[in-house]
Amino acid sequence: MFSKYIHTAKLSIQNQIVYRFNITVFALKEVIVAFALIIFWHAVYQDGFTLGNFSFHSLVVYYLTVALMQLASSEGIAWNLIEDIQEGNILNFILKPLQSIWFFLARTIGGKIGQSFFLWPLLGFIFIGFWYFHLVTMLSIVAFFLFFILALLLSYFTYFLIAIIAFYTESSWAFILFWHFISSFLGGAFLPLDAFPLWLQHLSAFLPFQYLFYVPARFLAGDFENFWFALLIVFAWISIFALLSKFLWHIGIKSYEAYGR
Amino acid sequence: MADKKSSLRRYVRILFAYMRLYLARRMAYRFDFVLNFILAVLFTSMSLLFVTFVYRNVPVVAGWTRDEALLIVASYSIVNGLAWMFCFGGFWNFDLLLSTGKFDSFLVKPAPPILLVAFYRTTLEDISEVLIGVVLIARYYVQHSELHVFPHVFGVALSLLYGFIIYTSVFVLAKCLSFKKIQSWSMNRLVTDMFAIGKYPQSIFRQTLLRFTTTVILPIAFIGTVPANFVKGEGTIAILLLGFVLTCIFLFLTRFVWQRSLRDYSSASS
Repeated sequence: MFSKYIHTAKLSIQNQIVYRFNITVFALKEVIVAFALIIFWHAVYQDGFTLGNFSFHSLVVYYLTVALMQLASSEGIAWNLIEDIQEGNILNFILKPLQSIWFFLARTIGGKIGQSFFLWPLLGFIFIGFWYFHLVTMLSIVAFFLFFILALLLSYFTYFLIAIIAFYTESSWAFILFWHFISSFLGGAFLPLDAFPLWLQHLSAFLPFQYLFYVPARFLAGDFENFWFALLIVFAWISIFALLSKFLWHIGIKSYEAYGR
Repeated sequence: MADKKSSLRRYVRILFAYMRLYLARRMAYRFDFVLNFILAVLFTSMSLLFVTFVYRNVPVVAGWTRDEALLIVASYSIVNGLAWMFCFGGFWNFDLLLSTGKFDSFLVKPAPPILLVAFYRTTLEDISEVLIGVVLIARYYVQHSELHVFPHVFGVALSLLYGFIIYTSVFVLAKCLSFKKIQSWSMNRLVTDMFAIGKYPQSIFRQTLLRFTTTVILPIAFIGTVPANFVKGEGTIAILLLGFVLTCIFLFLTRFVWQRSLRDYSSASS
């Protein structure tokens, strides 16, 4: 039953390996962005100021973890799916005995594994560095990987849901960018949530954004406050987005007319 | 000289023709146009929120107060908005133009292909970013009435122009890689994200090597800190001269690499 999805994932891995250049450049980009933010905060800390309870070292861990979490982002699947829907390519696999939501999930997971092949040296270097400087523990690494997988699922179902909008409007691309901006900012990709006003921090706990960057980064740093609550909320959001995706996909397919195909 | 003037006039006419066409096309999908406009505002708002939230926690960052840091964001927004309007919109999918063979149609037109590619998608919606930047600078002058606008206008405008030329030159330089690599779209994000560092004060780079790199090798200082310094009335003639030299170097380097890439280019798809 699962063999077709495993095969899809394998194909996706091979596909990623073809485009090594892009993966390397993307990894480099994330490192540069993290490096710039670390230098920014280094200047702040050198002047004698601090950000909440963060020490400078924990900020370094935070931004490097955020860079790692970019690997969990499934934005690419939304762009591909929108293109498939608008150009009618979606018909190619509607006719096949595949459930689209799981087919694209297999493609996403395969893609992520393919991407990570080239990032292993970098990831290894970062984790060994954290380990050497006693910035992480075995428990925090386990918690981080658990939330990494959950963030990947959350990101996937969200972007899948956004891509489905392409059944109804030509402008679904805007929703991808909108979500990207909002989730990056409110998720803590640029600034830890501790810098936000208190009311926004409280509100964020119930929104899906912080589980994409901030929460996994805090858990890796060993701050397990509200662990079970975070697990509950992230599961709730994954379930909501997955169910909505499945439901709207079926409605979308029913009303879909691939002109010219 | 007269020839150069008439060429320049022709290029400006081409730019306006493309802008008219783009606007006509976009007006057919008004919802898309409005969405793009909103997204550009949202993008700038994120930077403003970043500054606001940071300064809730610290009074000064590397010698820059909140209002001054907003000036850096304003300068970046102006340069970034202009770059998107007059270059990035067209060059963003340049690899696709090459791989589908559509680039060939640019080669047979009686104008430099580099300009045609840059202008063919003048995303006018991005003017919102430019407007936000201008409003922020105007706000600074209103709040600091002791500063006189006119002595600084020349330095501000010139440094913004340098920033725009350097930023777009580096972007086009990176896109020249598309002539060699089939999938090089990741270079888009690399260049734009690297230049987004220009939103932070250059004084955060305490090491001489980093400061030199961000001023001369990859002059991101020219899209944020340098124009902001001129707004504050702290710009110098020396930095304007350096900007002029760097702008010329980047322009010529881009032109050279572009011409070389064109010479080696052979269409395979059209």
